[in-house]
Amino acid sequence: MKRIKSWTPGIIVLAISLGFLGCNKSKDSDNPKDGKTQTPLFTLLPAEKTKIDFANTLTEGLNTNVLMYEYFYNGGGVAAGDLNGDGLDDIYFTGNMVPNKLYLNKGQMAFEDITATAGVGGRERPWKTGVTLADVNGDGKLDIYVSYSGNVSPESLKGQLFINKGNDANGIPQFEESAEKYGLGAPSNSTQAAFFDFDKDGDMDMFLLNHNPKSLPILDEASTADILKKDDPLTGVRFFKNDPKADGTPYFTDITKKAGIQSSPLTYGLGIGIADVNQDGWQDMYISNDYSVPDFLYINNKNGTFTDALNASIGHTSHSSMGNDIADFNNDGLPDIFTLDMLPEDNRRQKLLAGLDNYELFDFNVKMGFHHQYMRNMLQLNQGQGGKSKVPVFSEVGQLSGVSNTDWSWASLFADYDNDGWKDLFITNGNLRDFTNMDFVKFMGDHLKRIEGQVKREDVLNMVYQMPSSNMKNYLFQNKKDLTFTNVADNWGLGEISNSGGAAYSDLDNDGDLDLIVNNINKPAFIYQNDGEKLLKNNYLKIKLEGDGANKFGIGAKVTIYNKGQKQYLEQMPTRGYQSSVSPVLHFGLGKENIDSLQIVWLSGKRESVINPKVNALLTLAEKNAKVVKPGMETANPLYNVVQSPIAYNGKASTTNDFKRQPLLINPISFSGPCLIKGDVNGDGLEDIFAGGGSGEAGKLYLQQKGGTFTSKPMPAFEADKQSDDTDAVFFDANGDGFQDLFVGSGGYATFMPEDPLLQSRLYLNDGKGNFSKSAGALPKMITSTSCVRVADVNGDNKPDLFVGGRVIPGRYPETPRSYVLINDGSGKFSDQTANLSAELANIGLVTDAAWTDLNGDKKPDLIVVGEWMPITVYINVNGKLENKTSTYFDKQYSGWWNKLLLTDLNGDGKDDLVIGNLGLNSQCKASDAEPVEMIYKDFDDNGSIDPIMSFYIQGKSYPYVTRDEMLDQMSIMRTRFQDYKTYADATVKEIFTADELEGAKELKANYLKTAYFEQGANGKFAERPLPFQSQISPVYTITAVDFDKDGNKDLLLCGNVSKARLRFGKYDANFGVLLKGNGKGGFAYIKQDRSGFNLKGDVRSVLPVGDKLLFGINQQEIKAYQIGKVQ
Amino acid sequence: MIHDVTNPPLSARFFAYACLAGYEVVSQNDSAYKSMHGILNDYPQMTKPEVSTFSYQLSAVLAMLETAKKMQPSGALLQTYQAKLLDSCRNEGVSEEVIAGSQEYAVAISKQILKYAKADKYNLISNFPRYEPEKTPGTWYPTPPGYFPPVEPYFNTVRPFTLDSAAQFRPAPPVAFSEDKNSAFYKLMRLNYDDKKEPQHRVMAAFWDCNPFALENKGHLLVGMKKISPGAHWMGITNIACKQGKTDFSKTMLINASVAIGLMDGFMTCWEEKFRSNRIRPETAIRKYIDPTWTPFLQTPPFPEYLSGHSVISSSSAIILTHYFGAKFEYTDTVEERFGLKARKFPSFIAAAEESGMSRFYGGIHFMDAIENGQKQGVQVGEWVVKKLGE
Repeated sequence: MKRIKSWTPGIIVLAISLGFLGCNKSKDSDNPKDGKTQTPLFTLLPAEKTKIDFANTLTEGLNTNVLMYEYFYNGGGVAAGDLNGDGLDDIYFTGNMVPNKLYLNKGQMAFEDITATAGVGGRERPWKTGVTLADVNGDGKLDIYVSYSGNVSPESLKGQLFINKGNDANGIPQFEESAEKYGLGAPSNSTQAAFFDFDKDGDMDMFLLNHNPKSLPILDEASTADILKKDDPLTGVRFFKNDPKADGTPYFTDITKKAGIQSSPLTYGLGIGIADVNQDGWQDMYISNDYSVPDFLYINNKNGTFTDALNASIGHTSHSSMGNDIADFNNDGLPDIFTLDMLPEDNRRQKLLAGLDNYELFDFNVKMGFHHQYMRNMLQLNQGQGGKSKVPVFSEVGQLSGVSNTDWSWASLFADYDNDGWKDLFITNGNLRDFTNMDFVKFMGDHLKRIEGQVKREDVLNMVYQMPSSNMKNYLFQNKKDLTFTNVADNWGLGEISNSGGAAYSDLDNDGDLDLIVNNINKPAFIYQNDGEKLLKNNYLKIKLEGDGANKFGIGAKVTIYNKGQKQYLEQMPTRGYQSSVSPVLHFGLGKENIDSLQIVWLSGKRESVINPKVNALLTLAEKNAKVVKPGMETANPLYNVVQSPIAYNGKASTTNDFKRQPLLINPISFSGPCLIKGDVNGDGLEDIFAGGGSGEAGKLYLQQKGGTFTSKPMPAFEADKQSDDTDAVFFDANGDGFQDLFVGSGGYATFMPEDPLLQSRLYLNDGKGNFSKSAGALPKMITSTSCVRVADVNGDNKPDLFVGGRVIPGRYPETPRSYVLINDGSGKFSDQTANLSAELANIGLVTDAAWTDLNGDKKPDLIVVGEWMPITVYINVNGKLENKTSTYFDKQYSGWWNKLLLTDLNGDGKDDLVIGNLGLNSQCKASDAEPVEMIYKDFDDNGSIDPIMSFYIQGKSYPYVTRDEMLDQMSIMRTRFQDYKTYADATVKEIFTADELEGAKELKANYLKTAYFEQGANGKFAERPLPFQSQISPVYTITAVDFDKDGNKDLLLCGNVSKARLRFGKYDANFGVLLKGNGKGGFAYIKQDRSGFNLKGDVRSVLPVGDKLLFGINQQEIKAYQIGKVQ
Repeated sequence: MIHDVTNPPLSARFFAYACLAGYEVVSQNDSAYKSMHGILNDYPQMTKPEVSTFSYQLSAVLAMLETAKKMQPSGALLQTYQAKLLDSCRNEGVSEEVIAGSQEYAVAISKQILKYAKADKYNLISNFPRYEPEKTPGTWYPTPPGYFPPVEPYFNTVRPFTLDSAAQFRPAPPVAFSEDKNSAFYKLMRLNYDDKKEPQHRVMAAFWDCNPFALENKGHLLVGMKKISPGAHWMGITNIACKQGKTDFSKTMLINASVAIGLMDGFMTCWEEKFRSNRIRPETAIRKYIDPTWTPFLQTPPFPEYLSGHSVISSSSAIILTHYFGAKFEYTDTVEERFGLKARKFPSFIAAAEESGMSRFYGGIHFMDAIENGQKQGVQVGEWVVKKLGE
C-alpha cells in the first residue's frame, strides 16, 4: 500500500476502484512480516548518505566486448570486513573495468573512500573479478586478495594480495601488495580465491577458482577425453598449500595435481563453497562450473588430497552453475548446498529460451562423466551419510522449496535477514545483454554477412548491442521453516531493477541485523540497510572468533546453538556467494527466543560450550578457552542396514526412451518393473517369490528353502512369455484346487504397438509343486497395457474374481485404455463382465492401482481405483453392480497423477486408511483446485497421432508446458502459426488452437499432486491428513507399512523416483527411502536418512517384506535388501 | 526460408509445389505445355478456374506466391513482396481488372496444388517415433556444436513426384566401416584428414556450403549463421540460366518446375540412403580414430553422411539444366553474393555439379565415396526426371 500514498489526487478515483478489486490480494502480498509492519525491512540508502558512489561501469568497444571475453557481463565482487579494527565492517568493491574501491565504515552508515591512501586500488587495466578478505599471514588483520581475468596478457592476469600492515596515524589501514612474495605470482584467469586450512596445520591454504576465458570448445568423445587429461594452470582451478618460511611469512606452493584436483582447460568455475559437508572435521569444497562442465564436490581425504564425490553424493546439478552457497537452511545441523543457474520464473522468459529436449546431447554429457545437469537452481538438502558411506547424500529439493527459478543468477547468500531463527536466501541476478533468447539465436543471424565464410566481429557486436538488458529484480526468499521459501523481495524493499553480481551481508551499523551490499553493472552499488531491529525487534547473537595459530578468524569453526530442542548451525567461512566475501562476524537470529546453550568446535577439534549466552550482544569466543574433548556418541546406529539380497534378480539396463515415441508424454511409463510378490507355491509352508520380468526378460520364481535362502526354479511357461512386460502379478487359487496359481499382468509402453498381442495378460496354473503352466483360454482377449491386478469375490459365489487396471494405449497417450472386471466361473476361466457391473469402469482412465475393500460394512468387496489424471474413485458393490460413490467417501475430487495406493489401518480405529503415492511437490508442475494442471488432447492436425498438450499455471495463468519447437515438431500446421518464439511465448491453449480445432478435444485435469494420507473416519468418509514434507520430495511408487521400532504402531516407508524423465522436467531422484514413524494416531514424523539407514538410488517400483528383510525391486537394477537392526 | 531455417529436403518440397502451381497456370493457358496429370505421381486433373480477364503470366507468379505463403512457416512475409510486384504491374499499366482476375485465378490453382501437397504424407511424419542413434561403431551420432537431431529421418515416406519409390536408385553400399589402419574406410578417412585445405579449395567449400543453420558458439551467446540451402542455390542457377538463355516465360516456368521436381526426388533418394546406412561423419570418425583435435572446414550438417545430398541434387539439377540449355552452357554464378561470397564462373552445369560435390570433401563433411556415388545417383535421378517429363 506504500505506493498509494504517493499517488496524486487526480487518480484517486481509479485508486479506489482498483482497491476494491484487489483488496483480497493485497492482504497477503503487502504484509512484509507476519502482518506486523507496513514498512519494508530494508531501505536502499542513497549515495549522498553513504558516500559510496561505486558503480561497476562497463564500456563496450571493439576490443572490450562479450565476443572477446565471454564473461564480460559477469559483474564484480564485494567484500565486507573490519580492516582497521574499529569494530565496524568496511567494504571493498571490484570494478571489472573501473578502479576498485575501498570504503572505510565511519559508523551510522556513512563511509569514506580510502582506496588511494590505503593503496589497494589494484591495477587500472581490466579485468578485475572477485575479492576475498582473509587474514592470510595470521596477524589478526584482514588482508585483501583481488582476482583478475579477461582476454588480456599474462602479466595482467596476476592476482593481487594486499597485506594489511596496520593503521597509519590517521587510523587508515595500510597495505602492501605481496602476491609474488608469497608465492602467488602466477597468472591465471581467476574468478575468486578462497583461503582455508585444508590440512589443519594451523595456517591458511588457498583455493583459486579459475575459468577458461575462451568459449567451451567443440566437445565430442575424442576431444573431451583429450582435454580432460591436460593440466592448465592458467584456466584450470588451482590449489596452493601454505608452508610458512622460517620467519613465519606465508609461502604458497601449487599442489593442485598432488591434491587430486582436476585442472583441465575445461574449467568454467563461477562458484566456490567451502564447508565440512560430511561432518568429519575437515573442510570440503563444492565448485560450480558453467556450461556442460560438471560441478565438483571435493571431499577432503584428511591426507592432503581431495576426492570428487559428486556422482556418489548428488543426483543432478545445475547446468550452467554460477555462484553457490553452503549453509544449513533447515536447522538440522547439516550444511546444504545451493547452486544458481538461469531458469526464469515466468512463462514468457522460459518459452523464449527453450527449444527441443536434446536427449542425444544429454546422453553424451552423461557418458562423458559430466553428470545429469538441468537448467535451474539446485538446492541440495544434506541427508547425512547413508549407511556406512564416507560421503553424504543430498536430496535436491529446489523446486519443492520454491527457489529453483530465479533467472540468470549470480550470488546466493543464506542468512537470517529477519532474525527469526531460520536462514533466508538472497539471490542477485540480471544480465546486461539478454542473449539466451531463441529468437536471437535463430533469427538475428539473418542479416549477418560473411566474408570467405567468416563473419565480421563488428556485425555481431552491432547485433549484441541491440539486445536489451534483462531488467530483473533480485530475489529474497524468506524461510518458511518447512523446507520452503517465499520470495519477499518486493515486500522487504529489495525490488530494484538491476544487473547485480557479487553481494555480501554484514551488520554494517552494528544494530543486530544483517545489511546487504550489492555490486551492480552500470548502476551504483546497493547498500540496503536492515531495519529489523526497529520493525521486528527479534533477538540475535553475534559471534566474533579468535582462533589460535595463524587461523585467527577461526575459519572452519562450527557454532551450534540449542534452544528448546531446536538448533542452528553456522560454519565460519566468509568466502561465499559469488566473487565476494561476507562479514567474518557470525550472526544468529533468534526470533523471540533465548539460547539454552552454544557449542563451538574449532577446526583443531577443540570444543567449548557456553550455557545461556547473553543475547542481543556480540560474543567473543577464543580458541584458547576451548579444550580437546572426546565427542560423545552423537550418531546412533542406523535402523536399517543393507544386506545381501536373498534372491539374485538383476533387471537388465534398457535404452528405451519413451519420449522418442511421444515427445509430449508427461512422465515415462515403460519403467514400471520389477513387480515382486510372494506366496507358498509348493505347500512347504515357506513363502516363495515371483519377480516379474521386463520386456525381453522372463519372470522368475524363487523357492524358499529352510534357513531362509532361496533357489531359482526355471519355468518354461514364463520363458515362453518373456517378450511381455510384467507390470503386476498376484498369487491366488484360480481354479479351486487349493494351489496358488499366478496371474501376471502384461503392460509396457514404448516398445509395443497399440494392438500388440504381447499386451495380453496371462494366467498360469500351479500343479501344487510349484510348476506353472499357462492356462490357455482362461482369460478373455485383453490387448491392454495393464498396471495392476486385484483379487476379490465380486459376485459372492466364493470364487475369486479380478479387477485388472488398464494403464495406457502404447503410443497413444493419454487416450483411455480398457480396464476389466473378470468374473471367474469357478474352474479358473474368466469372462469380461465389466460392462454388466459398471459401464464406466471399462474406460475409467489411465489406471495405476486399485484395491478391493469393504467400505460400507455389507461384507461385499468395494473397489477403489486411482490413476494418472484420475480422481480417487470409489465403486460400491450394490445389487451385483459397481456404483460410483466417490462423493459419498470424499468431500471433493482428488485428481492426481497417482502411482500407488496402500490400504491399511494406520490409526488403530479398525478402519482401513489410504495412503496414495503421487508426483509430490518437487517439480515445476504445481496444481491446486483453483489452478489445476490441464491436459487437452486430440489429433489436432488430423495426421493420425494424438497431440497431448499439457498446461499448468505459472504466476496465476495457465500456459502450455510445450515449447515452440516441440509444438512445431508435433504438428507441422503450427509452423506457419508461430514463426518466432516471442509470438508463441505468451500463447495459451485457446490462442494456439482455433475454436474449430478445440471442438471435440478431450480434457484431463489434476488438482492434487501431493502424496496423500486419507484417514477413514467413523462415518466411513476419507479425510485428508498431513504427511511430513519429506514425503513430497520425489514421486512415490511404493508405500509399505512397517513397524521398525516394534511399538505396535504402523510406520510407513515411501519409495519411488523417476530416472528417465522428460529432460525439461529433469529426473526425480531425491527419495532414498523415506521412513515415517507413526504414532498410532495417524501422525507421522520423518526419520532422517542417516538414522533410517536407507540409501536407495534409482526407481524403486516394489517393496516386499520377507522374513526380517525388506526386498526392493528397483528398475534396471538388482534387487536390494535391507534388514532391521545391526547386521553381523 | 532462410528466416525459418528450413532444412534442405523440406525446402525442396516447398520449391516444387510452388513451381508446380506456376506451371499449372502455364499449362492451362499455353497449349505448348501439357499438364503434369499422368506424369507426376497422383497429380490430379486440375480444374481450370472460370475467370475471364487475367494475365496468365501474372497469375502463374501469383499462384507460386500463394502456394509458398501457405506452405512456408514465414510465408506471410511474402505478402510484402507480392504487394511490391503488383505495384510494379500497376506502374507498367496493368489494369486492376487484370490484377484481380489473375489473383482469383492464382488462388483457385493454389488451392488445388495445396490439396495435392497435403496428400503427400509429409504431415504424417510427426506420427513416427523420433530418431534414435544406433550407437554402434561407424554409425552416425549427432555432431557438435549443436548436437541437433537429424533432419527429416522419415523423408523417404513422403510421396515422390516421378519415382516409383525413394528406393528406386539405391546406390552401392558405402565403404564398410573399419578401425583397421589398412582398411578401405581408414584410407577414406585419411584422405579427408590429409587434405591440405588449399586456399582455392576453401573458396569452393565456402561457396557451396549452403548450410541453412550453422551454430556459432560464444559461451552463452549463441548465434545461428544462416545461408540458403543447396536446393535454393540451384534454383538460383536455374534462373541465371533462364535469364542468360532468354527463355520465354512459359519455358522458364517449366524449367523451374523440372529442377524443383529433381530436387525433391533427389533429396528423397538421398535421404532414403542416409537413414538406411546411418553412416558416421568424417568429423566424428577422424576425431575418434585419428586426431581428436581435427575440425572440418565447414560445420557438419545434422544428418548421416552417406550419400552427399549436395552431390545428388547438384548432379540431378545439372542434368536437367543441360537438357534444356546444352552441355556447354557457360555462366557466372552470383547466387552467394548476398552472403559475401564472390561470384564464380563455370564452363557447364556438369562442371559446377562436380565442383559442388568436391566442395563437400574440401569442407571436410563428406567422404569421397559419398560424393562419387551421390553424383551417380544424381545423374540417374536427373535423367529419370527428364525422361518422365518428356513423356
